[in-house]
Amino acid sequence: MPEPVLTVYPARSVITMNPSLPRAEAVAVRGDRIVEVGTLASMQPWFDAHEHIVDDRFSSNVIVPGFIDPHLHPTMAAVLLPMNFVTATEWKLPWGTVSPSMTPEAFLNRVAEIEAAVENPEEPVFIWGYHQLWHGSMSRPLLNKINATRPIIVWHRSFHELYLNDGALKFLHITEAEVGNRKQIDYPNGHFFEAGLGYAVNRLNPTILAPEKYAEGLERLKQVVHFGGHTTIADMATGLFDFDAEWLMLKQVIERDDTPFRVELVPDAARLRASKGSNEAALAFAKSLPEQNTHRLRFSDHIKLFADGAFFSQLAQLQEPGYIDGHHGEWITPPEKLEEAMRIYWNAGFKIHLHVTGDLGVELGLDLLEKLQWERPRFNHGFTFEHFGFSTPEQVERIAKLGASVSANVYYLYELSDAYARHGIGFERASQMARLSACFANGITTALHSDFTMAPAEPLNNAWVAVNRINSTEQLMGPEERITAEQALAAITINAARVIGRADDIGSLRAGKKADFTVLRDDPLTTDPMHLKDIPIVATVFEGRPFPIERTGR
Amino acid sequence: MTPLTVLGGYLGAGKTTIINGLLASLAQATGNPRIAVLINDFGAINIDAKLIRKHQGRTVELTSGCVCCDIQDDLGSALDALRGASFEQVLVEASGVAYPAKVANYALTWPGYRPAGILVAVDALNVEDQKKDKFIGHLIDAQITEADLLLLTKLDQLDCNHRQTLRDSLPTRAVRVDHGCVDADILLAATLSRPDSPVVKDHSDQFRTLDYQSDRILDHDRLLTFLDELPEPVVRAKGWIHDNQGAWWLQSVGKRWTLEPATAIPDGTNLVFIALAKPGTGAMLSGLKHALQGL
Repeated sequence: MPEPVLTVYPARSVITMNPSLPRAEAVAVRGDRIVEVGTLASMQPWFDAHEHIVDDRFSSNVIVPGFIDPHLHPTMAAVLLPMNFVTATEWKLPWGTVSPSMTPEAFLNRVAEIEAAVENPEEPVFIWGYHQLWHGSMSRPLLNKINATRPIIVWHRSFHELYLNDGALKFLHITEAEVGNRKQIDYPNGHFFEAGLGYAVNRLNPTILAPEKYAEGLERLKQVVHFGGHTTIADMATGLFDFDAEWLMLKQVIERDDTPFRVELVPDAARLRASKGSNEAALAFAKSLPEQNTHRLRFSDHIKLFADGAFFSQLAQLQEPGYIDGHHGEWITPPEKLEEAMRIYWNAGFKIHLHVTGDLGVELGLDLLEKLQWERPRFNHGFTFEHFGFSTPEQVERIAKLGASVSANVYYLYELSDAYARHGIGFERASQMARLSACFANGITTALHSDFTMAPAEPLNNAWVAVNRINSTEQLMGPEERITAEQALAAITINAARVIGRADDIGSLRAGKKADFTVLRDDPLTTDPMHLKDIPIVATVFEGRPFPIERTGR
Repeated sequence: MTPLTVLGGYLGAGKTTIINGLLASLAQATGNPRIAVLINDFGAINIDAKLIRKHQGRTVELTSGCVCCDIQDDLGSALDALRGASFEQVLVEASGVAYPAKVANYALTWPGYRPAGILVAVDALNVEDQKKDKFIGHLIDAQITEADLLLLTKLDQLDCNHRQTLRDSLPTRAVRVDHGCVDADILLAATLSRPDSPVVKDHSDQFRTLDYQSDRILDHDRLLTFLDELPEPVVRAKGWIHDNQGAWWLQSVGKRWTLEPATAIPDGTNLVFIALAKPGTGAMLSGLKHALQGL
C-alpha cells in the first residue's frame, strides 16, 4: 500500500497546548496522526520527501486540540435527549438552540407549542426542564388545559420530581383508587416526588428505556458530542443501568465510521461488584475488559467509585457548619466499603476516579488516599477527585501533596450558586464552589467536565464559567477563583487527557499525536473572556478526518 | 395492606445476622407467617441449603414459604413485584448508610403497603466510637433517633458498667439481641396478625409477656389514651380489638402504635404485650392488665 498523502492544514493560528511550541501556523497530518506542527516553511523537509496537499478550508480559523470531556454519562444522556427541553437556561443543541423560558407563561406556552406539533394524538410528550424558581407552580390541571388526553410528562430540571396530566396517568395505569391518599404522591396535582417519583418512574421505564428509544437517544448524543466540539469523551460509570445492554448499544451506535469521537469507558465498581458477587471478581472482570476494545471504544485501567450524594439534591456531605437548615448529606457508599474497594483497585494499579460532591466527601477521599499511600506508595497513580463541588483551601493543598488530580463540574457554580447561597449553605461557601484557581496554583492537574446531563456538553461554556465565574443571576461569584483562558483551555484539552490517562496520544498538538482538532472561528485566548462561550465551532477533525459542524438555529 | 418493617443500622451492627436467624427460626415450624425479606446483598446472606426450595435470579424461595430477594438498591421494583403475592409482612433491610425513615416512606407511598415500624440494629460495642466518627457520626445519631425500637447487638462483649451507660444514653426502647437470636415476635408484625397464627411463646428471659383476652367492647377514647401511655418496658404489643367504634388490628413497635380497621376477626379482644424483664416489670404488667379491664 502506498504511504498516505500528507495533508496540511494552515490556520489563522494554531494553539497547541504544547508549552515548548505554544503557537503555530499549520498542522501536517498523515493518516490519523500529526507529523509536524509549525509553519509551511518548517515543514518543507516533509514535503520534499512525501506527496502533500494543502487543505486551506480552516485557513481563516483557529485550530485547537480536540476538546475532551472527561466525565459524561452517555446512558443518562440517551434517556434525556429524546425529551423536549423547556428550560430556564439556554441549551445549544444540534437541532436547535433552546432559548430560555423564564416565566410560568413562557413555560406553558412552549409546552403547548411542542404538544401541538406532535401529530399522533396518542404519542406521549416528554418535557424536561421545569423549575419552580422560574416557572411557578406546576399541576395536572395546568397540563390538562394544554391537552388532557395525550400523555404529557413534565420532568423537573433535577430529575427528582415529575408531573403527569390525565392522559399520562391513564397511560401509566395510575388511578386515584390506587394512589389517591399515599404520601409523596399528590394525585390531584399529578405530582410525584421522592419515593413517589420512584413509583411513577417504574411505570415509565418500559417507555423511556425501550431499546429503540435508547438507540435514538444515543444517536442524538452523537450529534451533541460533535456539536460541542469534542473528539474524545469519557463514560465515567459504564454499567450504571445495565452493563451488557449499555456496551452492546454503544458498540452498535458509536462504533461506526460516521462517529467523530472516541469514548474512554470507566466501569462503575459498585455495579460490577453487585453483578459479579465480590470486589475480587469485579476486579478480574475489569482487568479483562480491554480485550473487548474496539477502535473508538476503549476500556483501560481506570475505575469509578462513589463517595457522597448528589450535588443537585443537596445530598453532598458537608463538614461544619453544614447546611443552613441543618439537614445532612448522604453517603452513596459506606466509608468502610469504599475503603475496601479502593484498596483492591489501588493495589491492582488502577487509576481511581472518586465521585465527591461535598467537602466531607473530599475529606474522606483524602483520608483514604493518604492511608493507601502509606500502605503502598504509588507515583503517577492517577487518583482523581470527580465533580469537586465544595472543598477547602487546605484540602486543595492536600490533594496536591498526595499527587491527585481534579476533574470539576464548574457549571454547579453557574446554575446553583445563587440558590445555594440563599437556601443551602450561605454566600461564602456557595461563591467558592469549584475552587479552581487554587488547584492550578497548587500545580494540580485540573480538568473540567459536564457530567452531561448535569451541565450542557459544551466545553467552551464550561471554560466560560471557569474564567468569568458569573452565575445564572449574573452575580460574580468568588472572583479569586477565576482561572485564565489558557488554564481553562488546558482543562478541556491536555489536562482532561491526563485525567483519563491518554495524554501521550491526545490533548495537545505535536508531532506523533492523534490528529484531533477543534476548529474555532475566534481565538479563545485573545477574545473577550465574556465571549468565550459564543465562539462558533466550525468543525472538528477526528483522527485526520474533518467533520464540519452545521449550525441551525431555532 | 401488607405491613412493611424497616431494619436499619450501620455496617457491622448485625442486620444480616438477625435476618439469617429469623429465616432459620421461621423455617423450624409450620404455620409460621410467610414473609418476604428484601436485602441489599446476597453475598452476606447465609441460608441453609436444606431450607431452600428454589433459587432464581435475585430471589430465593424457602421451604417455609418465605422469600428473600436481593433488591440491589431498587426497593420500588421489588415492592411492585411482591404486590398481590399475599405475604403477611415485608421486612426491608436498609443499606448501612440509609436513613431508615426515608426507606419507611416507601410504605406510605407504595399502594398496598403500610408502615409497621422501624427497627435499628446498634453495635453496642462500637456505637460510642461510631457516634464520634467525623464521617458517620451524624448518620449513626440519625439512625438511632429514627428508630421505633433499637436492637442492641454485641452487648455480651461489653462490660456491665458500660452496658448501663449505653442504655441510659439511648433515646428509645431497646432490646438485646445475642448472636442474631431475636424472637420473631419482636421483629414481625405478622405473628398474631391473624386469628389462627401461633404466638411464639418461648421468649427469652429478656422478656415478660402479658396475654389479654376479653369479650367486652372497649371504649375507643380510653383505648387511645392507654396506648399513648404504654410504659417504656413494653417493646411490642399486637392483636385485635373490638371497641365502640369498630374492630381493629393493633400494632405497636417501641413507642409507635397503629390501629388498622379489621374485618373477619373473632369477637372480643385478644392482645399480647411483650415487655423487657426488669425489676418491676411484673407489677407493671399487672397494672396494664388492670388498666385494660377498665377500658
